[in-house]
Amino acid sequence: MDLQTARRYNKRLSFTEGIIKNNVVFTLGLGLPLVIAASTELKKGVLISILMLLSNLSGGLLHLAMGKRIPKIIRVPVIALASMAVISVAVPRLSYFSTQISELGVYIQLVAINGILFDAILSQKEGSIASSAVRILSYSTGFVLVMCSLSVVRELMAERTIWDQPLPAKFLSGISVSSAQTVFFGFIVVGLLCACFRMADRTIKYLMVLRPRYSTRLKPKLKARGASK
Amino acid sequence: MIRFMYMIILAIIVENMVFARALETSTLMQKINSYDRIIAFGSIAAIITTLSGMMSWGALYFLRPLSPSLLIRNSAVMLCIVIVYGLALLLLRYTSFLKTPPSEELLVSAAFSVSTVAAVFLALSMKMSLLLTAGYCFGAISGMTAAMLLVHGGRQRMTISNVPRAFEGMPITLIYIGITSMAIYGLVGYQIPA
Repeated sequence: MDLQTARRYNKRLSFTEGIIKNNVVFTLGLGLPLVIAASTELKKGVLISILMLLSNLSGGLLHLAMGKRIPKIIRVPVIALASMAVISVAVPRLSYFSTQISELGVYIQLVAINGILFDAILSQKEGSIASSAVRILSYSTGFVLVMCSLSVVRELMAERTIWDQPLPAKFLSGISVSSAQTVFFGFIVVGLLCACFRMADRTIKYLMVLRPRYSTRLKPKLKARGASK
Repeated sequence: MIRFMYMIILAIIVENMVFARALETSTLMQKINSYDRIIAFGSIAAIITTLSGMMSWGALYFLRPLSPSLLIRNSAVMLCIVIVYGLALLLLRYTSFLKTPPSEELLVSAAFSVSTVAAVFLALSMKMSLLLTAGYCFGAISGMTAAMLLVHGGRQRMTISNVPRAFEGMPITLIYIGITSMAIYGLVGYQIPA
């Protein structure tokens, strides 16, 4: 019963590959520079997420079109160039949406060569081109979720605003961490969240596998032992 | 000459790619796991970045009268990196001047690493002379390599330390980099509010 439940848990989670199971940031460590340095405000988080989706979609489609006919060493520069072109076209249009895009500086260009896209292209365990395209999509979704949620937390902590809108005066009053937007804070928070993610996964597995085992097999034995004493 | 040296020191310490800009953390967590590999990765990245920086400076210098759009500028810089990468690949395949040549996979990782692209774009955004651009590119990658060596040394020590299970590997390394980054911030002048 216990192992079956655990297997079912793993099977269910396999649909969330990159989002919950093997989270792209907290477990696989992809896209860390963007998450750590650029997730200081929600607007910036959303802008980076949009650029990331555009870059990964175009890169993924190109990867799908080129197939395995072209060796990896040529595929990477071609996709990097195409991705950079897509981002360069998108940036002026996004600047109408928010002027904060100029504050992202060099991180805009770095989206074009992000780890999520290149991991799918360079990965050794690459099954088929379609599967790597699916992986790019699920990993991008996982990245967007982490990026936006961390941006909300950091903006809330540093400026007590969300999407530049101030919070009511009484809400979380007295809690303000001005260093929440620094790089070192990003490193420490992401490190702590990685540990929490692992601990949560381990605890769920423990509750599924070990606890039923303990209750069905060991508990009666222990009870019997106690009674005999 | 003093400005050149200043630019290198600025890129190595104050604007360190790992501690001040959080770049190359993914590579550090995944692929690079020995001192030899870090040095090989850093050396290749330094050569490619310096050459790409110089070539991009030249390309933008000639494009300046045409006031190019962001698309043209970014594509030109990326194209320069691709050309330098292509030349390095040809050199690696058809010559044998190195006793133990690096793998092509390492060459791809170094040429299209975030620090290579970031160093070139940052150097060009400062609008400096050709020599200073080359100095900044070289300094940035040297600083990145030094930081990677430092972090790898820390990781090795942490593997033999008694770290809580949930923190083993990536989490403790990120916290370690974060604390070291705090020291760099102190050097730059950031004050943690009392």
